[in-house]
Amino acid sequence: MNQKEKHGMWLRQSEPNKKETEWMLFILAAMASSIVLLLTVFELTGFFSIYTPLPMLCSAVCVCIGYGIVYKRNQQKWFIPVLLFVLMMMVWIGRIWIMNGFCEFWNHMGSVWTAGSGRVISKLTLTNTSDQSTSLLIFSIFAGSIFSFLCCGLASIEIRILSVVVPMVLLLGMGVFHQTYEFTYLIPCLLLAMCLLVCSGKENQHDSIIAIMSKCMLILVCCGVLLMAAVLPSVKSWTKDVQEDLQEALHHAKYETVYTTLPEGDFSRYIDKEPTKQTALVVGMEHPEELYLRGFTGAVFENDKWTALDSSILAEHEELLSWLNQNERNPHTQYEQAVGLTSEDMEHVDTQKQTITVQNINACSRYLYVPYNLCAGEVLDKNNISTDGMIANGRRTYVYTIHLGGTDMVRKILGNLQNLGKEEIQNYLKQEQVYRTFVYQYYLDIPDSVKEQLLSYWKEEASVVGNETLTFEQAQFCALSFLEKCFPKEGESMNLSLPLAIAEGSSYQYATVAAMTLRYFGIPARYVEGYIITKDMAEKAKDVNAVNVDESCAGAWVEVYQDGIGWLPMQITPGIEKQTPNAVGEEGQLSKMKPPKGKELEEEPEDILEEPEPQGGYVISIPKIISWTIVWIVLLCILFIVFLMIRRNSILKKRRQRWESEVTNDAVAWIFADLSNLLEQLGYVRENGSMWEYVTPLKQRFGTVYADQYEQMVMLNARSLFSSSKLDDSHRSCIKTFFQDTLKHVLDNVKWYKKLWIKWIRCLY
Amino acid sequence: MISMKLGWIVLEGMLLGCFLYFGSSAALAIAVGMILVPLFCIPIHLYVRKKTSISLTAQPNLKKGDSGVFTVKLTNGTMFPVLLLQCRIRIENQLNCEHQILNVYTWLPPKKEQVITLNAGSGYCGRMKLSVEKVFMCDCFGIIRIPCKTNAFGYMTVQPDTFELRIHMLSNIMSTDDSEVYSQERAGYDMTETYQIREYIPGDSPRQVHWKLSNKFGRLIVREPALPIVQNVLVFWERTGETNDLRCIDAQAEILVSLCKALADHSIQFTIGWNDTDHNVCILHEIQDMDDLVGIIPRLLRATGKKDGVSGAELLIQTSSHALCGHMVYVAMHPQEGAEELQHYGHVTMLLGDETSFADARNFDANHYKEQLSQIEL
Repeated sequence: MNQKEKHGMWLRQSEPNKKETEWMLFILAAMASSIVLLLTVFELTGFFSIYTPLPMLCSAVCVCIGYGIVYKRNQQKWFIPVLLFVLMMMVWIGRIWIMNGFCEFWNHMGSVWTAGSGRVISKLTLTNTSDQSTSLLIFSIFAGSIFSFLCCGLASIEIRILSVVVPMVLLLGMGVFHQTYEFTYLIPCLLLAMCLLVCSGKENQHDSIIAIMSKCMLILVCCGVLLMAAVLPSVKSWTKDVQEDLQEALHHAKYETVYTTLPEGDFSRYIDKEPTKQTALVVGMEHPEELYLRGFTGAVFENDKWTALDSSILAEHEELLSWLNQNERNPHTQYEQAVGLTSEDMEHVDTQKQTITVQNINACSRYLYVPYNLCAGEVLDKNNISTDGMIANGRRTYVYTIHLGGTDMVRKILGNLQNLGKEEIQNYLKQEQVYRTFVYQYYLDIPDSVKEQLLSYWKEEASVVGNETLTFEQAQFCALSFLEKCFPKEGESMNLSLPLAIAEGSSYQYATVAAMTLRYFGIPARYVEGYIITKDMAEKAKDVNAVNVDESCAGAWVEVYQDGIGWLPMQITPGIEKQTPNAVGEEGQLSKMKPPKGKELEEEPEDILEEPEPQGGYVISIPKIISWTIVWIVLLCILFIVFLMIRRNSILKKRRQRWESEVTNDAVAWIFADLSNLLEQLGYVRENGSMWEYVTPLKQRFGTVYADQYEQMVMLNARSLFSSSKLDDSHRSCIKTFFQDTLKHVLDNVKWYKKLWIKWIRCLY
Repeated sequence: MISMKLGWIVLEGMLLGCFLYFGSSAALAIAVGMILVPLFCIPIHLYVRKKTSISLTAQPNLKKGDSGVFTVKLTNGTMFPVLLLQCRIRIENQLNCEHQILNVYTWLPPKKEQVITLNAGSGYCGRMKLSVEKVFMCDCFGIIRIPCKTNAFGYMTVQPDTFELRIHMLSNIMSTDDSEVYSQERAGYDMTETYQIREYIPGDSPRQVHWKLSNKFGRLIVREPALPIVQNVLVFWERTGETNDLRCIDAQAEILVSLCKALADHSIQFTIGWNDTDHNVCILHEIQDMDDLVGIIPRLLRATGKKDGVSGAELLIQTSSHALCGHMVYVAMHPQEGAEELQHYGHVTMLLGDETSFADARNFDANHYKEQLSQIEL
């Protein structure tokens, strides 16, 4: 049977109490969703740390109840305009407060995001003319209303949408802000989502409250029992293992190849891989020279695992670090700045730069492999405030600039920095001291387990010197002397119990022990993994200007913080000393720059962190006018969209009424008028009323069948207008069908923007 | 149901993502719960479906365009509830083969019955078959569906609208008032012929008593007189050559019933017939009065037509020639094979739904048949 003709029959379910249960479910769903969403969003963005959620939740609940009542009375059409009007009035009257509240919200969100990701976003500047608590109150009410309004809107389309949107927002937020609220938000949110899923939709339209409650109870009981099992330690550790395995697998798939050797500081599952001759990096240099190509950098050692400084610590010092980044005082390019400031007074020192091209073949592509004498350039990400390894995030080819012959210059730079009294140098040293304070705060930590293991050895070394408080040279001597005992250049080592026994004898163990020992004796140090280009390799590559760095060049070394210059690799790692003897001083001697006489900074480091530098300023503010313009543009866009929607709905409603007019002749004439409007979009303009002339062009374009039907419709229109005989419903349905066919042709034959025009401006469908 | 399944998939995906990305044991617990709940429901539903009965009741008659009410009653004999029950209900107009399917969702409380009330109707006449085609017991996410046996069905007749139709009977030499054919369906008044022999029932006339047989059997036996069939008119509905035009089928049915009503109103005894296109037989019914006509309408309105096949006219001539009489009305969309031959047996008035020109044919169209056929000469 032809589908078009199947219109004589109907079958539907009786709906006696539909509205009674539906509006209650509607209110509950919208209210619960908006509350969970608000709590989630404001917790994730750190808004709760500055303001209580009560007014916000109250406004959300009020809006939901209001919409529920309106829904029950079938007066939804009034709700949106009224609420929009109220919100517009709120914006109009309290725009300064709302804007200030939004700025507060934005700035807190930025801080939380930085704490999670280690990246900074621009802050907004507050207007000083309003009271903070009033701003927060009004903004909370406004935000609560908007959120609940959105939830009501989604619920009125389909409650089930909320069951997906709510957990999705939460998970997205958790992913973006790198936070986990497993039992606080995630579980209630997911349980709510499941309850909404099983209680809404047309499947449950006719269900009684008992049925709905039964479904919810079944899910809650079942999940409750399983949740109790989930808190068992064995289950938790298993899930953690699975997560780690998966993340490792993902990391491997994304960044590594089968030949990648470096363990990236994680020795919890360390397997001693035999170094291969597979090429890890191809480093192109105009003047090949020895290089320490730093990749992964570890600041914190815990449970046989080195990790970078936690992003929450970075966030605490966000202003300092972002200021350093923005003002090109980046810790990664500190050496370059020191050279730049001192070079003009070092006539005999070659200060030429050279470009390095790195092609990462088999090394982990999560990190950029850069030497300590890196110059500022494209590879620096100013929004990333991490002071440890530079993130490449999968990039396998990159170019940067370094200073030539950098390793020879360290001592001279240090000397110049101490001796020159130039104002720029004094400013530089002042700034450097701020970062130095940060380094001394976080790069001297030793875990208790390591302390327990090595404290007695360290004390023994210190007792040789005799003093209670060691000078820098004494500390340096003790550290190197202990390392010599542990890893003697010649002969058998003493049988000492050292950390990282799993990687015994490797450069990884050495770098770890060295970092811990140096830290104990008060010298900031960090663990570094990467690739080393030796002098021999550089010599061999002089003709081809490119060095093939294979996996056998991979290893770990320790970097110490050299006051005034920054992080420098230490040459004393066994095996490495043969490769690069000139990294820091000679024979393992560490140089320690003393602050210039009388130039010590008087401010405490904490004060410096709290007070912005007068010349720089830690906050990058967006001009007020721009932010206002953006807000107004967004509001106008929203208003315009709402206007278009209301206009379209009213036009379509009128059209429906005309099409379903009791006088069939009128209805047919109206439909034909709309049809001619539709044909106009295809270029067939109804100029003088006659549409006959388009039969032939339509025949050529859409075929005989369509043209014949069109001819019939023109006839029908003529009958409806000029004939006294009444048309019936079959004619109406016939012309409606033809309208749909024409619409399909129009949509197939016009471009997307014209489709938007037809739909939203002309409102033809 | 699809949206619920999609929702389940998205939620399950999010939970697994949460478990893998954040290492959340709670997310894993809920994800397992979302899988276990459907699995847990399987044995329960397998048990409940054995103890579940389904019945359907429908109102018998309906006017065209009106909504009729019918109910589906599901009884759960167990102490386990079914949280989501899907019933696929089918409604079919047996006359024009139009059909519709509706999925109804409900739940089944333990040891109780659930009644689903539905409305159905049609703009075209015909006999509607309502049936509970399939019943599925689903878990609350609708993931696993256990089918349940069902044989519940009912009928609802959408009565045709009749219109006033005036009949002019022409005298026909081939027609005869003396009939030698007697009704096989009912008793009559012609004492010369016996319709049936039966036991005496109080109220029977003593003249009916068959004394010889009564003596033989030792109890009172009466004989019922036969009903002579006066074969004046045969109204035949050709169901072969039917198109899919619902309005045409509806028009034919209305014409047929209106004609029969007019004949009954004129106290003309007639036979109504049509061909069963499924079994290739002619179905004939003698109509004495209005009650007979009302009784036959539900059968008439389930006479499904076919486009091709053996024509009704041919079948009538070959298998039921005794029914042919002096006045015949042949209602069809298009005259089929054998229709012309009918004219050899009597005067045939053809009422045709297309433009075919034929001797003594009256053409009608689905929109104006009431005006076109307001007067018919037989």
